[in-house]
Amino acid sequence: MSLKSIKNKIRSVQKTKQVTKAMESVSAVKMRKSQKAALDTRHYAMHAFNILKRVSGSIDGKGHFFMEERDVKKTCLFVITSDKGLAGSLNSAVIKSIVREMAKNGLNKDNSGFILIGRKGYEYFSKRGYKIERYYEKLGDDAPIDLLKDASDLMAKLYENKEYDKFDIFYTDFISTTEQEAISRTVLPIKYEEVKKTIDGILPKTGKYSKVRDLKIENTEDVKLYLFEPGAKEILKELLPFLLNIQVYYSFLEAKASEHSARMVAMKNASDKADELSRDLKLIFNKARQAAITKEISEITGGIEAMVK
Amino acid sequence: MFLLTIAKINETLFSDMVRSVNCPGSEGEMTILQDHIPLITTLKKGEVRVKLDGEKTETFQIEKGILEISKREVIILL
Repeated sequence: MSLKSIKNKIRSVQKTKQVTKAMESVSAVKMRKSQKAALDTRHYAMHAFNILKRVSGSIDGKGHFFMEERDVKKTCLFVITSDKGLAGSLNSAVIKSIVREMAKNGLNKDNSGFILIGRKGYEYFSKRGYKIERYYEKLGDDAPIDLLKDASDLMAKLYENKEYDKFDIFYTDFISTTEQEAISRTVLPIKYEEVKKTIDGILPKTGKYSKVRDLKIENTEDVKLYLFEPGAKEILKELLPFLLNIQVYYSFLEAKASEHSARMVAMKNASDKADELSRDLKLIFNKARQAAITKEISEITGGIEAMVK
Repeated sequence: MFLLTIAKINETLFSDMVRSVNCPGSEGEMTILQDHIPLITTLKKGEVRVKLDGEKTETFQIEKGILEISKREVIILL
């Protein structure tokens, strides 16, 4: 390799490093933002959950068809992936977990449907001919309330019309900056345990926000003191769509935080690799330069020797 | 005076000590003062009027919501 081409290569590696370094920093900021958004509104989720506990503590049975389990004939999968790549194994992990789950539950094109957020998931499932109920992309980083509400309303409608008997949501749970896990939760029919898990899962295990443990889900012994207007069933009917929306909202934020942290780690690796590469190239460059100088000197001295003789 | 919180899923609109709050309950307009009995109700489309300390008031337009009055605080989820 000529000196010039090595020099060019070093320059291009360093340019790439600048880009990956910038992407790393941007992702770090965005990750914090998504985490903060989830934490800031945790009160809301807690209150809604507490109301649910109070209301359903006062009525026998389930009270609303949103909470009743039916025989599962058709399942709808709600999948959250990212629009863009360069995020390590983030999206492939989600898709892999879906494929595994589908195989386990015997789901195929006839007894499943999809609601998709993010282009990566859409590309995968539309190419393979699965039924897509709805698809959202370019949702940005600030959770778009209207679109997420639209998604949860759609689920409620499909469930009410008995087009699907179960809704599972698949997304990446943010555990810590270096650890994300593709998980699934059943959002419809609504189950206490699943809602509670979602709310508890908002706090990451480590990092800046892991210490916020101020909120507790209250116990509900005083439920008999409560008055319900117009009645517990009517309240439940209003409340359950709230809870559905909450689950979609937090899953989206978790997925976003995971996406950014995965991208951050991927970009950090890329920057480190670029450093290593440019160090190696510099060594080659110096060796080549030295070799050229040595060669020139020996040519000159060889020339002189020849003239002297 | 009691603590009132009005919150949407993505933001808290109001959280402060108030003297009274007036809102469109499903069974008709209602005004909540301190030491109200625990109650959960749905809210209709309308206006929530909050009386703060002194003469100050604040109003919020709502489409629908859920109101919870517990011993400690009053919460409106929109």
